[in-house]
Amino acid sequence: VNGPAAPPGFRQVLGFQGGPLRLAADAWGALADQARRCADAMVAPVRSAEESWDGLAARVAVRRAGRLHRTVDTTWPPLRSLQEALGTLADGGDRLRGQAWDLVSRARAAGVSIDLDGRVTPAGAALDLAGAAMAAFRREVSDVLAGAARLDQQVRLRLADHAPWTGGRSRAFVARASVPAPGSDPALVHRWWSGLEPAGRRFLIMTHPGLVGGLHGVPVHVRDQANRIGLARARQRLGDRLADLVRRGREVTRDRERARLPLTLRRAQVAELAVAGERRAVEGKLAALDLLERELSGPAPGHRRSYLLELDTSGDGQVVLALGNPDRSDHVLAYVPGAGSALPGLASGLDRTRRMAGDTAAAAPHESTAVVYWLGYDAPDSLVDATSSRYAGAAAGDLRRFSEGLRTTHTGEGAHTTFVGHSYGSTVIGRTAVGGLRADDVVFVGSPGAAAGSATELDIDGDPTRHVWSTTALSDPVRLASRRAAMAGPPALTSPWLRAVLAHLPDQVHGRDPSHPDFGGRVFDADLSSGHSGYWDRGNTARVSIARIAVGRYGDVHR
Amino acid sequence: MRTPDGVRVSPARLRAAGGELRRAGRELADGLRRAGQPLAGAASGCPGWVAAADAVEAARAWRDLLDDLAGQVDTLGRAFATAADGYASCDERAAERTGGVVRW
Repeated sequence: VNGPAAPPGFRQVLGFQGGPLRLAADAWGALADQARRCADAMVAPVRSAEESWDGLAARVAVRRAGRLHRTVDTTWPPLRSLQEALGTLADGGDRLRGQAWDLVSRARAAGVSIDLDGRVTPAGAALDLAGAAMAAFRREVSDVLAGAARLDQQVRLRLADHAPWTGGRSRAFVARASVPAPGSDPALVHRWWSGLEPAGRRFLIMTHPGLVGGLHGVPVHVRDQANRIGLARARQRLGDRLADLVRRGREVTRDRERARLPLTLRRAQVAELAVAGERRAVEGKLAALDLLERELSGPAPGHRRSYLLELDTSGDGQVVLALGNPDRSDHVLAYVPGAGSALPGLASGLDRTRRMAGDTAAAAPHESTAVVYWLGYDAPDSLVDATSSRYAGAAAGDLRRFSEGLRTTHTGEGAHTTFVGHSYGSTVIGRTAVGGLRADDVVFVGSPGAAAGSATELDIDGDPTRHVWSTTALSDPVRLASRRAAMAGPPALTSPWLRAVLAHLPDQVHGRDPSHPDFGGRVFDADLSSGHSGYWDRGNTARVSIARIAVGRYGDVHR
Repeated sequence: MRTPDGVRVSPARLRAAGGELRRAGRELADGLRRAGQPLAGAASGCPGWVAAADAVEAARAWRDLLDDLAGQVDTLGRAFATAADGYASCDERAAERTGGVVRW
């Protein structure tokens, strides 16, 4: 990287074109993928050589192969960072160019000329223009130039951080004990991360990806790098487990076929069922990881790429995936799914997230919106489980820190952030917001209750009476979760028998219905045909409104 | 092939492993070639921005390193294959010599 140099002038800002930088950013991303694939492709042949080759030459060769593999495997995270840095430069430069041209045209309308060097002079008839107006234009020019100098310097430093190292060494030991514990304050985490040397950061990403990937307050693109390593390791681990289960399955089937006594037969049958059950679960998770891998590889249309913010394959599995970088976006829309959500069902959650990404791009084509699929909690498996507030209570801390982390790591002044929860996901958001959620807007869709009696109980950044939104379709059976709403609903849903049952139930399952006017939020429309799961169907007015709320077009929400 | 002093090898597996390594190295080199043009042209839309010029320089440095690594992976694969050939021909020669001495 070159030494000190002149910052870009007004001419350079006006002439900025981010296109070639975006192409280069995509090329860095493709190269990072290729380097990672190369490292992955080395594993099997080296393992095969280790297994089938002994002797002096074998020892030397395998040691050399191991060293080379480690070196190749350390190249791709910095390449991803370079992709990110160039994306930042392209976005920031284009934004400044827009500001500069806007300034020039406003000045022209006011009878002022701004030349290519940023000199502000009165033009023609406006020679008597007040000094204050001229000073204001000069200040704006100097703000644009200061922004350009900051951006230029910031990206230069990031490029320098990720310069290739000599001799293949990228390691600098950082004690594991110095890493903030999971769940630490994101602001503290951010300060700690910012204070590390680049080599130390690389060391942590490569050696403790699970720790770095889960820390709120670490920049999004870094968490993505760490979690991609976690993803590769999880696939390896689950693949090995599947191979074990296939082998074990053959054994227990043989045991069952050979069993002569009823007790032995029964035992073998139970074992066979257990193995088959675990095999199905592992296969489901592997299929979800394959889907994630496809989603994460290569840039999506519009140069929007995906970022893996959390991944946990234990239990039902948890995943947080962002389409677009929340740290660099004007808006963030985080979607929290409801009961029955789990890693193996990722496809449907991701599909809904993609739809929202398309909707928000259509609602604000000149602004960037990152849409996040937030399954960072253990969702209830069934409707019966969904009557318990336990799951929402357990999720609240992590969702709150996630929202704080987004505020902490944003590279600008912070994105306009919206959390949308469907079904039990709305209970999770409500429960979190009661204790504080860094959100400008929250949206409840088909909610069985938001763990609150009124909108004003929700502690969000926006005024809750104006920024808490809710919709529940008339045909949505979740209305049964609210006795009052169900009794006011269509007769098909409220037979005399059902009314009698409802009369003996508490008012709501999870607090007052947020779609009831008494709750004090803003209720918006959903198509009658929505049912409980059709809110994101093509053309549904609720879907259009969610996108408009997410980009701040409140006046266009269908109410 | 196994000998009492601990040398054990399957030339076929070793050759296959060498082939896989060479393929991995070649693919990385191909990726580098594909990325060359967009990386070199990164600064073309923003003359006067030092960060963009730095990005082109960083690309050059990275290309050198990755090119070297791709070459090393390929060389390692070739070494595996050469070793496999060496073991196989050594075995054949030993068999020929032994066959020439032992008569039943």
